[in-house]
Amino acid sequence: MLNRESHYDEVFDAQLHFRIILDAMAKPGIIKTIDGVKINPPQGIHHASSLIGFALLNADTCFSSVQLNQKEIAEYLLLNTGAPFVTEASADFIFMDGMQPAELIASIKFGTLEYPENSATIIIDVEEISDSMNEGSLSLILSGPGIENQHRVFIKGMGEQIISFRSEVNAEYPLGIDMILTDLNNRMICIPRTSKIVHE
Amino acid sequence: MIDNNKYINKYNFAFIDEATKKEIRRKLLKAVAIPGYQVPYSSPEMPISRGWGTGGLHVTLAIIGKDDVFKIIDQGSDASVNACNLRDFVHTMTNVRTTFDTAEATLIQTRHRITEEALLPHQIYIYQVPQPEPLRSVERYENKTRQMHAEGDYAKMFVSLYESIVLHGAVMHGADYPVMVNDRYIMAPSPIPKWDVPNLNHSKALHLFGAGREKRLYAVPPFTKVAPLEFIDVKFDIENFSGKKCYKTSSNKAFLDELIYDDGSKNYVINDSNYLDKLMENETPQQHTNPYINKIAL
Repeated sequence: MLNRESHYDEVFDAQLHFRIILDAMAKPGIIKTIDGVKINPPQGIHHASSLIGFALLNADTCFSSVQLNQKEIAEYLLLNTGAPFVTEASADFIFMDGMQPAELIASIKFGTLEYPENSATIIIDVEEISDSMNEGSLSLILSGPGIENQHRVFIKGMGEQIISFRSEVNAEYPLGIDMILTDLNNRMICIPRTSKIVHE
Repeated sequence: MIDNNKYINKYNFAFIDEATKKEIRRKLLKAVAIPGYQVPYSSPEMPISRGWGTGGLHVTLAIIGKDDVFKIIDQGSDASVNACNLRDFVHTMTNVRTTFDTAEATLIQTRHRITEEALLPHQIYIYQVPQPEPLRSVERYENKTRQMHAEGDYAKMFVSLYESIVLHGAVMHGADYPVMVNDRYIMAPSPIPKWDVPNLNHSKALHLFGAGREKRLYAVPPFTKVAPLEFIDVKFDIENFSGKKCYKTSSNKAFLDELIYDDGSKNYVINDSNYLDKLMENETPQQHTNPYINKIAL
């Protein structure tokens, strides 16, 4: 059964989590942890992704989910944030699973040259985000604004095609999408459109 | 009896309501993702007039938390009237600790200066911006400047700088010197002196800009290229204080204020009040380093 989360403080938890997201967005690829609140999200969405949703969503914005348990996730986020569920093509925030095909988000907003901020932020659930190499993980080398030289991060549980899709839609900067990745241990990284990714 | 303490505080924490804070926060994330690009935002009503630092205040109040340590300066001084009033307001609305010490602060709000002391990676630096549009002096219509930014069409700006050099022998931007951010957007760094402009380049801290009257937010993330506009043969340079020195510390390696006395005589003093205090107490605050400041011999 879905409940309104009673442990979540809409003033102070939201502020604390936003500051973590802001810090992560300013320093792409640096791993942060986002937790500290007891919530019970439905299956198919990470604890950390739900908290990011709580921190950023309200009735003035909209979201979409392409996850398997889409219906329940949509109800859960609507109940707790008031943000309406819309199609991917018009959503400001999109929740997806790292192993899903990139075609699911092919029609999303990536802004206009006059208003490049009118683009989607994608929150992707992956298995593990780590500073060290693990079996079967993608190795990403990030560079660009926010990164002193370059930064290497290892992602397990995300398809390479999402990275290629990202470089395709971000080709004409400032148009593009910004990504937030979360894992099962409540770790997260941000990859804004300015980051250049080399993957192995 | 059950005490009803729900309405014990007359105002929400940090004054602004949560829905508007979230809107500002979402815009700030986009501003960080597109360095130098001006994101339109709501600019809610404040108990001070627009144009008196509301933009900086919106940013501060949208991001501040209970554990932050807040510092605010006006033209380098902790004691100027604008800084004092806004500090009182932020303190009353949040009860966070305030400080004069640049190194101790986590959030620094500023009007028209970057601190003389170098910024740290965990600090967020917030500017009160009067005119966020660097192209406004060459193009009066917002829809046209927006299109110029969209297309990266900055010819008019360079022509204006060129004309200034032809007419006056120098680029006549004493403050608010236009910069190119991340090789894409021309940005107004707010009316900081030229002395401060190189400190934005590859800074360790995150810089957030709020223009309340003009309803725009923008940002420079850490380690981002910020280059002042210049020509191959006419280069950008900072203010020259050679031959002058601070009458209190004898230093000329800091931005100096000119003091003019009633009899017409002049003195100079370091503009950044906290930096001056630290030097007077024989502390050794870490100054910004950049190619322009590094050239100055003590």
